Amino acid sequence: MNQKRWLEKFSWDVIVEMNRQACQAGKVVHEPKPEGYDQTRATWETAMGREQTFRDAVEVCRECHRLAPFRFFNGNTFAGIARVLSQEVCKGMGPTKALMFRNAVGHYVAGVIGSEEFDQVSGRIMAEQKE
Amino acid sequence: MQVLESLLIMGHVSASERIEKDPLLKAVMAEILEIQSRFVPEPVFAKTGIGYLKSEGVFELQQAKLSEANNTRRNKTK
Repeated sequence: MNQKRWLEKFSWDVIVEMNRQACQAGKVVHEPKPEGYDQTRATWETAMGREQTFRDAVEVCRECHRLAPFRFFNGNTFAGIARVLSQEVCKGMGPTKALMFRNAVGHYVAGVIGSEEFDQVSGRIMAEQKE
Repeated sequence: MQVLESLLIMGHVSASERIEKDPLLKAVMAEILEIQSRFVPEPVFAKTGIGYLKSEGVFELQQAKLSEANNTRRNKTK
């Protein structure tokens, strides 16, 4: 998969604003979580400027979700980013495969499936795509 | 877009304006809100090591398969 700056548009203030809007919609208070905020910000900002594969960008999203920089709605903040970015990888796939791939990405970032399962599912979809 | 980029460099555009004006950021924001009901607000993944994402069931998959079947039929007709 090609290397590019997948996360470059998502500056940290944009991430914070996205979570703020999610919290507003969910009627909960938006605030940083002291235990995870600084580490997540550092992880994200390092990854932002880096050329990387889509798989690596997904890993960054998962890790930042796990670190939980915000009090609420960390999951959809980072899964939403990865799911939308996956659309570029899905170009040329049929709707069913694209849906399966996007769902696998979302479930991986959400922490519902592990790396082995994600790599199996995405690897199979990619292999079938090449056939 | 060039004006937006120049303002961005100068640090004059707020994050909310960028989300509103940039198609990619706007799409992500819409996605975040669309899938919000499938998540629990609290950070489950951080506490337990296993996250939560409510399944959408088979409806979404059925829709995708239907759309694919329609595309195939349309291409055959051509």
